[in-house]
Amino acid sequence: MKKKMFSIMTVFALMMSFLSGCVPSIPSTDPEREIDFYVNLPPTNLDPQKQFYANNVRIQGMFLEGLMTRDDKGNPICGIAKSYEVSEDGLIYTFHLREDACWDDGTAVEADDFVFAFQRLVDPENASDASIMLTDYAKVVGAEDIFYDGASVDSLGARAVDDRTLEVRLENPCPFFIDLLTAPAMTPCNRRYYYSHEDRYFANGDNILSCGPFTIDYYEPRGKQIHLRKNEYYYDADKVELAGVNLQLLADQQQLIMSFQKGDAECIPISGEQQEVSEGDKRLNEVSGAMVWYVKPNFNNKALANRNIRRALSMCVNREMLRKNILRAGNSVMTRMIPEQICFEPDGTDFGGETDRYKEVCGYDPEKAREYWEKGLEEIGESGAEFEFLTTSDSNVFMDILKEEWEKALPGFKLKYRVVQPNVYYEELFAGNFDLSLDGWGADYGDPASYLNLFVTGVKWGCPGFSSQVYDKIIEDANNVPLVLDPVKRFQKLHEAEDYLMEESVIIPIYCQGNACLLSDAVTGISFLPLCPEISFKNANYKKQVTK
Amino acid sequence: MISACSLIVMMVILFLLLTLMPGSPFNDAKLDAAQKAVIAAKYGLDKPVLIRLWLYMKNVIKGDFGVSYVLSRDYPVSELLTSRIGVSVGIGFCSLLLGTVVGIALGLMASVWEGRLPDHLAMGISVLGLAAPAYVFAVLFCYYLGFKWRMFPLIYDLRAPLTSATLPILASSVMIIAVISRFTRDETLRVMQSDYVLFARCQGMDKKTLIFGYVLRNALLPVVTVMGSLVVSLLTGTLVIEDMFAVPGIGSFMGEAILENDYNVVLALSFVYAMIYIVVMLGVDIIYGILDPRIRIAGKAE
Amino acid sequence: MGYEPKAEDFRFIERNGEDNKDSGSYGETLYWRSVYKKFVSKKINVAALVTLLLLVILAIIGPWLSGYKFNAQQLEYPNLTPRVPVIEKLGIFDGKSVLNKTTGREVSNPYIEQGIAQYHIFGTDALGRDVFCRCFRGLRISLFVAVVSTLVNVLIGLIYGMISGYFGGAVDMCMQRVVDIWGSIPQMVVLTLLVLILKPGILTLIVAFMLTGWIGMSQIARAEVLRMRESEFVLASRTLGAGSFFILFRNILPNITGPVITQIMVTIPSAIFMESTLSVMGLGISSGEVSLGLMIQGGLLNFFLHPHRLVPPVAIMVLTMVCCNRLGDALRTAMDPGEVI
Repeated sequence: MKKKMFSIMTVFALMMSFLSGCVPSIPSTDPEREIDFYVNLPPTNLDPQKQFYANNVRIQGMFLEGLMTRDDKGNPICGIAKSYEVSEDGLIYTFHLREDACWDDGTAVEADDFVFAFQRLVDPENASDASIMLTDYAKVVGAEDIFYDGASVDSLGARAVDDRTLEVRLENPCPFFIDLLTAPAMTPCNRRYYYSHEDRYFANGDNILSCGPFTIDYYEPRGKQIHLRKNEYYYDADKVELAGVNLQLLADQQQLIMSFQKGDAECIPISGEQQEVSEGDKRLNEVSGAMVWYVKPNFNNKALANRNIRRALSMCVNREMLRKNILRAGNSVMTRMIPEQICFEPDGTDFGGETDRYKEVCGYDPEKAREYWEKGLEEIGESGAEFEFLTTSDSNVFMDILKEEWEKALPGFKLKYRVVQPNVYYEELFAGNFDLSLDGWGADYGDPASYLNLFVTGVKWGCPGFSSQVYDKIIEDANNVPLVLDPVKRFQKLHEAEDYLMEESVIIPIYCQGNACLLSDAVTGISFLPLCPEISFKNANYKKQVTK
Repeated sequence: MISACSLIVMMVILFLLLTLMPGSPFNDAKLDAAQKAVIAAKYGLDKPVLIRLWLYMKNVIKGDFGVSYVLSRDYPVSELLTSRIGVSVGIGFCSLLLGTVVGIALGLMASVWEGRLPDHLAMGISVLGLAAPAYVFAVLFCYYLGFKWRMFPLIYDLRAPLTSATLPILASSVMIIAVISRFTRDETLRVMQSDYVLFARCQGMDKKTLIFGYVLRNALLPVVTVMGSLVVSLLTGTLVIEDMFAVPGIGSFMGEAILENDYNVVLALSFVYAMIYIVVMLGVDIIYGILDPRIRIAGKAE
Repeated sequence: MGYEPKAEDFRFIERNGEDNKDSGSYGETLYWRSVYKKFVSKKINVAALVTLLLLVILAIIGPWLSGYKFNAQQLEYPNLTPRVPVIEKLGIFDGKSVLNKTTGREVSNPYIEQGIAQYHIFGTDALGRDVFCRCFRGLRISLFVAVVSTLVNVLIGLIYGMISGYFGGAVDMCMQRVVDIWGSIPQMVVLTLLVLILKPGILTLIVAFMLTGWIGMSQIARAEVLRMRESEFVLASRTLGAGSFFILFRNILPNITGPVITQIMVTIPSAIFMESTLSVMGLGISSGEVSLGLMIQGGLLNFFLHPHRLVPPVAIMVLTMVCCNRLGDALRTAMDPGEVI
């Protein structure tokens, strides 16, 4: 008997050692001050100056901090910068850095770190898609020449006046430059650290240097866990209560809900169908988002080039029903291009606040839609039309509903799906191999131009075949002197642009995708914003509840 | 020798299949055609298929599996896989061990009390285990063991690799228990009917010595042979189980790599899978030799 | 002193007597009769067969029985719980739903509250589609995929294995290496790749299963042929001048029907299994069709809140699998010529 016990023990000992021996481990922090936070969107790359992608930006925003950051309302405030000045003509920005801003290894953050970061951003060698921020959104002197024509990175209009003073020169005044600086792509990059870790810079947890409230001590590319640890050298470290955050990525929704109910997780995302589970729960946290989903017509299609037909499609969408039955916490129906709570006019009014501004176009009226439809068909001399809907999955609820509504209301309307794998979707989309598609766009900064610039002739994210001189002119005016220096008039112009977009039914807005999460009562002070940094643990506090 | 050849041929077939895949690894929405061409050239993807194949095979023989294109750009595939393989193999090995031990116990129990309650119970478990996919059991275990009775964490956590691996191990061992218990029972019954067992019983040998000393050993021989195919189905099963419990293993990684056209990762992973398969088959042969004196002696005679 | 045989010790066997009735169609009928007897001797085999037949019948007429269309949405009635006529009076399956929300349990009866007059035996899914109808529609598709792919790959495997086993030598050597190599490629990898290359769909699944599933059959066919190649009746046939293909298909093939049928019964459930695993991974059939795997996937996604969506497809699948496995075992035992009744 003893022998048997012994062999069983050996077997289990073997199992245990096998399990613990060959897996990486996470350095532990004080569990009383560490929260388990679940996000369902895994990052592809954490290097802020490399890839510009929503999932990356979300994680980067949690631990990095640049010159500017946002307060809990979403307004830009000073971060690493102590203060800044703008020249009269809006072309020269001078930033004064904090004396106590430090990297997580204790060395000071210097102006040169920003210069190097900006240079990396526009360096064609680095080929970052976030370069668009300095070449396009805000035109920093020299950025375009460097990125497109290979001029030396030293010619970039960003320079360190001294260790604590940074000067950035723009080619055009940019009304939202300060807003742009909150983006993780604009966070500093230490030249010395970068060159000593070149191949591995930000590639895994051992090679990350942060000057934000947290730093990462465990991260594997495409792993399922990321571990944030408080940056003890952060300038505001006294105010950061949490010792660490365990980010769990990519977990099954059912497991998440059970974990949360059990008390294993402090925050879990709630998405899609599952939102019913937490309806009416006070712990449900809704955050409006910046991602607008709209039906994008291909103007090269004869029928879709017709305004009446597009209008008909738009008026068939029963948004009220969507809101009631389909959309869940965090999402809202869209009746215009600019969502709420993203862009604010100088007097503080919400640019996208007036949601029934375009009810003529986006109201649900199948009867009228049918009239438009028949009128449109007559104009192009057809008796019906068949469209192809490009999609990555054939079980998209929105698509199914749209199809049903359109086919019900419009005689002679036919829709078929073309399902492609996600990896070829954009290829097909940009090549214009579709008639209709449900496409999403999220703002990169808090200004209507972030959405409206899409539909200027030649932008590939816009609708293929759509080109309007009127629209191009409006946008050009809004983006250049003198209007850029006159916010009030500029916003009027931007309204004009949106009016044009909606009147012509260039696109059919469906909904705005926000986020919702269940947040344990034990955690307070996490800030959720529609724009980056979307989630911040800076002021978070955790009171571990004693579980029964 | 043959296995080495088949490994190489397998890689070639997969390589060719992969080139048939629609799309390219670089489908970043924001890249234009010229940029894509530059990147493709950088990774040598612009060369004809056969030359690429030749270069790739040459590197593989040197032990270099290339870098990842999509999942983690420029990161060496071998490094990406090492930590993951540990997790997967650990969990797979444990469930195999658990499944075999429990399965043999159940099978023995069933055969000793043939036709009575323990037999029905054990065979009931076996029938169910074979009939429902592992993820159904995973859900049940999660709900009851994990959620209702709060025994184990529901999501794999590197900070507690032991407790959080319990549920995935349990879930994937069900199928093994089912197969092994079934096999053990049938084989034990077969052996029990043989002449030498009859002889031993006539001589008045007590049942315990008979079963553990003589019957079990002979009954386990065929059981060992099914282990090979079990490991293969275990590999398949882990694909879904790993996803469910968020285990950072190779199973869930495979799906991502295929979906995103990360050729090098798919190839390296397939290589790993095939290696595991071959090693297991070899292991089965060796264990078989140890258990079966006939083979052992024949081997020595040669 | 030995025994001297006498004339009366011997006698002629009567030519028309009872003793040698076994001439004539000797093998065939007796064999199949014994198979039948062995099969029927266990009640559980009959039960499995009947259940499986019932399932198949339901798969064919079930969707029609339900009175709903499998893809007809009723967005106003999402996730209804089961409600069965007659039984509802007993207080079970009356459409009462118990929701496990994060705020606690919530008991309600949407049928009464919203005044829904319909009956949904298995409830509805998130888009208000009838689960009963979808389940059996799904079973139909899953069975179709499994049966068709199994038949085809059994055919391929049979021919391949027979040729390989019969001709032996270099032919066998080459053909077996091909099998080795193809077999060492992880099946799941090939399946996923094929599904991706060929675009997800029913036909793709069939082709993918076909390409990956024939190896088992070919091994069995080869072993059987190897065993029979040296037997007397093959020798007899050859001396009579029969050609290779005649021997293979007229003499050997009828003798290995047993293992073939058993193999079919084993492959069908594993194809159903594979299909559901692929679906759960998000690679199953698509384009508006439904399969058991797809139903299970939908159930898994909502199982905490709406367990009633997971139970029916899993139950149907388990039932089908149990029956198929039982039948496979029963046939194997029944067709094993070594075993006597």
